[in-house]
Amino acid sequence: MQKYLFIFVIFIALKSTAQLSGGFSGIYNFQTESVGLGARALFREQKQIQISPQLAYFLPFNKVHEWTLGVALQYRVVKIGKFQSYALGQVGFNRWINFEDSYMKDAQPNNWNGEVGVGIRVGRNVKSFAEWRYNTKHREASIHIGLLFNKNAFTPKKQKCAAYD
Amino acid sequence: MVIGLSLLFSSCSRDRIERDLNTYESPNAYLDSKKQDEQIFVIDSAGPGPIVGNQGTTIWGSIDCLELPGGGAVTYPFLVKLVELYTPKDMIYYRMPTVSAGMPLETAGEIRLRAEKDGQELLLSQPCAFQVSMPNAAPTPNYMNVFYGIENGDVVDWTTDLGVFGITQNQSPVFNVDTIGYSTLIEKLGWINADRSVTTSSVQSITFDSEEDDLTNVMFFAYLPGTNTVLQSSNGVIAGIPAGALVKVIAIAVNTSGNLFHFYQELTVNANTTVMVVMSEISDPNLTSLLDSL
Repeated sequence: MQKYLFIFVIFIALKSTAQLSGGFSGIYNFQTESVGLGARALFREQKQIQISPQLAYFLPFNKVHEWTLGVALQYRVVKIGKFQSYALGQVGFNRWINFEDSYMKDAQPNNWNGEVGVGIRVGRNVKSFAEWRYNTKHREASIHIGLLFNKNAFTPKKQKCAAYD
Repeated sequence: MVIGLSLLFSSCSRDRIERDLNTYESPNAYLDSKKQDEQIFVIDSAGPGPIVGNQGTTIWGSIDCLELPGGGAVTYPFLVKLVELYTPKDMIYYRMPTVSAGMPLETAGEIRLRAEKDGQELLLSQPCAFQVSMPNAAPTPNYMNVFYGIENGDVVDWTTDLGVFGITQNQSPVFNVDTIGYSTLIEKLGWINADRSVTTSSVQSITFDSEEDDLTNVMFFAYLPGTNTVLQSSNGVIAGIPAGALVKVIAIAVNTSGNLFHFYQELTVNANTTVMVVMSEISDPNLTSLLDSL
């Protein structure tokens, strides 16, 4: 079920590239005491329901070494000027690379994870964001802090030619 | 939302990085409930004796051989207290291993013989002795030695050296054989053991580990049927096992709900060994039967 939802949401996202941002984040998982890096895209960011494919990678020096490829649905709760707050839910495929190091009785390398959380985002072309998330499978909380860039954030604005003034 | 987040935080888990082990509490309360009672005899007048314990330990003594801690004379009435440990089960329940300075002892039984007057523990006056016979169906002449217990907290070590207690030895340190079993004249009250040092080229140890159980509060015992030796773990290790000995290992613990758990394994120990433990629940009658069958 989770994998079909994952594919469906990716399909919807790819059809709506008009409002597209991309960015990165730093991640900290409080329970596994692990530090990770994240990359994400954000579609439909001016809509009530937004779509965000994401990759999270927890580095090899951590107690838990893993990556998760997922897609989040974000529901905008508040929008005031450049500020937005939102609730999110994510499904993702998780590859737990060092699962054999865990004392957990039913540790598996491949997992489908669900996450719920809340986030805030500030900015227009370049946006900073922070999210608190809860992994419902492993019952772990994490914080994500990062930046998003509009797809044309670094494209120079067209200059009007003086000759046509 | 705050309530929801609080609930999520409160249900967070560190299972992926921490051992998810079954935990136990000390089995001391259970073992205390099963151990042999201390028998109390009120001695209120002179008589021919002897004092005979429930399991047949027989004691001959005189009030004239007893003194108060300061050296004063003892008057009637006074108490004689006796604990009898003749089976590995009873030695395990009482946590009374048969070890002398880390070396295993072959035992024919342990007793604790004390006398008390108005709450004061009495001493044997020097040079004086009580005769003690410890029941045994097939005693071996000139085989067992008299070992005395050195009490250090909950641990009792055994020694033949009365000098440790400041007592000059006047009696033979070897048990005689009589119609009851092993007989001797003891020169100190307290723990008495009919023992013989186990002859061995080397001693080995067993270390315990588990992937499922936290062994912190698990108590391990080893019974060596070849020599009737009882050993007990210290810091998770049973030491003093004669090389090549057949060992019956038994672990006992109680979980937080008060349920009894155990582990049992027989092995021959030729070298230092690690035993992987998986504790399993057991009823009191079944554990009692297991200890009876050692």
